[in-house]
Amino acid sequence: MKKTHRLAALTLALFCTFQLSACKIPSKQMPEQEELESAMLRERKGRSNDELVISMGERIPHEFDPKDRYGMYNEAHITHSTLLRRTVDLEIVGDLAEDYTISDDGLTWTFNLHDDFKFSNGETVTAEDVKFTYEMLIEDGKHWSMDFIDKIEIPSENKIVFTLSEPHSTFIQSQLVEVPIVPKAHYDENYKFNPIGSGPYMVKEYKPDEQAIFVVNPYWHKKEPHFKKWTWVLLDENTALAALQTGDVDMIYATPEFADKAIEGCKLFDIESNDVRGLSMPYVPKGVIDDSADGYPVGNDVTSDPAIRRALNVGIDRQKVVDVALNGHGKPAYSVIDDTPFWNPESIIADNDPQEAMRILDEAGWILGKDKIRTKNGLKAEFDLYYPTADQLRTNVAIEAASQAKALGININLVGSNWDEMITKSHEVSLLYAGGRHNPNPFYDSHHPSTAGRGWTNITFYNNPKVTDYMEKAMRSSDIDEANKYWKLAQWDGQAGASTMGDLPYVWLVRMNHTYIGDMRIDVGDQGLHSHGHDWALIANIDQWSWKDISK
Amino acid sequence: MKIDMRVRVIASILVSVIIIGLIAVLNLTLSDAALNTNHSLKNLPPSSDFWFGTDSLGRDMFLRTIKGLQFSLYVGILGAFMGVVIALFLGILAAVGSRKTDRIIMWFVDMFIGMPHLIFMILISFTVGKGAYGVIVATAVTHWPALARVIRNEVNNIKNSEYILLSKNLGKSRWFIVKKHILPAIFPQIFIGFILLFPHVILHEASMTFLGFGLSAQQPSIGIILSEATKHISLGNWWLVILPGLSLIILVKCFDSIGESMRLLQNPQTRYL
Repeated sequence: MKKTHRLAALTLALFCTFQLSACKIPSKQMPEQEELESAMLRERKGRSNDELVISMGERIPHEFDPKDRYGMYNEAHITHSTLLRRTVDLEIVGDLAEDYTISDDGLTWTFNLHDDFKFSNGETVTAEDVKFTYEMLIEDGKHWSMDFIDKIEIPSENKIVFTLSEPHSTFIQSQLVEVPIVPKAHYDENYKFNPIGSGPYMVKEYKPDEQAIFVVNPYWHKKEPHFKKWTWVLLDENTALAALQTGDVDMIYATPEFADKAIEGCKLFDIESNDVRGLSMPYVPKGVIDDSADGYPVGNDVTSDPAIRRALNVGIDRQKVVDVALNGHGKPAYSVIDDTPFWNPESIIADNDPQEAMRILDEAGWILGKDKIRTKNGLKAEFDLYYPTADQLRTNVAIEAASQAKALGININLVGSNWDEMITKSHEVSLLYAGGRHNPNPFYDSHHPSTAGRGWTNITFYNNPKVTDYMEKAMRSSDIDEANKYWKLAQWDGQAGASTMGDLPYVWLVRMNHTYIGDMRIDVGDQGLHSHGHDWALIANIDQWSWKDISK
Repeated sequence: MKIDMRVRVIASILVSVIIIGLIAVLNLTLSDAALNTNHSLKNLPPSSDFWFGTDSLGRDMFLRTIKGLQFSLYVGILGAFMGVVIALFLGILAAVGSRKTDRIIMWFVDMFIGMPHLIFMILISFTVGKGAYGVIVATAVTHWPALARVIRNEVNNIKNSEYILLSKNLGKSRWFIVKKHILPAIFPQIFIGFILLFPHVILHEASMTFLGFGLSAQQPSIGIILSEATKHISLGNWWLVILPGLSLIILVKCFDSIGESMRLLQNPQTRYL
């Protein structure tokens, strides 16, 4: 009997210790003054003020090789040059190209190149390198889809002419500003381990799974960046947070769960993005299409019903999803191109209206059953939602969406999965999907019937001839403003469109803010609106970062 | 002294049964409502309202733990039951069948024991189609070998005893002998084997769901709770790891002590200690 008493006392004591330590967890909001004082004390392991260590995840996406998509998340300008570049306001200006002209029919693009751009080995960037880069990627054909380019010619030194087989308005919004120019003489399969570029920084050392060290390119032609050396250490999130606390790392990327963690001398960098998350909704019923390009089954009888999609669209409280899954670090999302120049703001609808959602469902014949799930002609209002288990953010969005849908009488079964399996299911079940770039390509790719069943594009088999027509007009415009007009019409023209007002092949829910925690003395410059890719987005302009000395 | 020992053994069984019963009763009585997400109740430490605190989506961890333990119990019962059925069938077959059958079955037993258990279960769970179903099948069909060997040896021991030889000489069929003489004799072994399989199955279920080979995130399960918690362990939300983990250990320990106690009571050598 005595033994039991002792055991009980021990348990009690243990429990109390836990309770006490629970109380010691620091309050999340520190007063500003205190923050500044503690900042002075932050120990950086003796690193000088022009040196940084960052951690943006366990691996380096795209690994410096355009064949592996390097450049698609705007990271090209860290180590490379591109022909044109985007400003933070999404305007397009010259980079390697001093100026450029487009012929009236939109088919001939002529670029005059600077002659003072140098690779990190001292060699000058020439038109030959540009030609080589583009031809190599066209031939590779995997990621950049540039088959609209007919030929590339070099009429004279420092001049390059692209001839297109048809006008392609997104050429200037994506490939021209994203494709990093690689040196013809030094490009091979092992390029990623010894990348040579003409950007402000060069990769001094890259060891996969360990770190990459960047130093200033000695031949950089513009103002020398403040930070002379920075290292990306490849750590998982927990280790990165611990390393930030001990001073081994100065800046980490933080998932929403981590974002509100208070660390002495550090602050939250909370930057808006159009990195969206939502549900893909297979657009055709089962059995209509049985010959998809990739051979995977197509169709879902529930998600293909417009009433279901519209009910989820108006019934779900997007702000609540933001609060629950993103800890409030985000905004409601209405499309894959929110807040860009080619976005139609009419797609912002009033959501969180369960009454309206139920009215839509009742009207369409989805009757609430005894188990609180609706049925229509014997068909239950339920579908599978696949999400990658490794991605906690998507998992949380999925949980929240399913729980809100249940209140409307729609049962969403969550299925934990991985990308290899999800691609095989992508046309017949809903996926917790993501997207968001600085160009209209994701919109085109995810709504054009020609891309249906080809990779991660039009996975829902969406096909509305009117929308397709607008998108093709937009693509063929030789003028950006005209293109943007058609992009907006494709979203909603008053009667039809692919957006929240119209067909809704995707129910977009949230735009995550990209959150980072870092030393409060780092000034990250003008960040603008981030696109998809939490890891590269912040450091894309690292050459403009500086150090604010607040100790005086 | 002797009585004290028995009282303690029986008391430990009682306590264990009460704890398991409590989990079962709580499961039936608690509603699922608090499993819904709630952003105003995120990451709360344990309190009188939320005994186990809340997680990063604002769900009541006590409820999630209890519902998770229910799944563990369910998988445990199914897994242990299937394990016993397979073990019994193969064990008796090996013992009373021909030598060839015996060798084939023992080869299978060795193979199953020799294979890394967890990897084998992951393989099976993928083959049959993942999800809760995959976890249940995988745990059900992999927990028999050790018990099968015990049963086979046990049957081998008694099958040459006089009363069985006598029965054979009287012309009774093999099935009759198995049913009337062997099964009753080895029943205690089977029952204790059944109980002792429980902890194994439950722990394996938790490891599988922990590794992500299994259930959907909606379904409460200890493995999922723990794997979620470890992803954010550096935030210091200790209650997400310790309390559900402790509950799992207590549940497992309950079954273990029931099994061990029954073994003590059943074994003539320790029965009256």
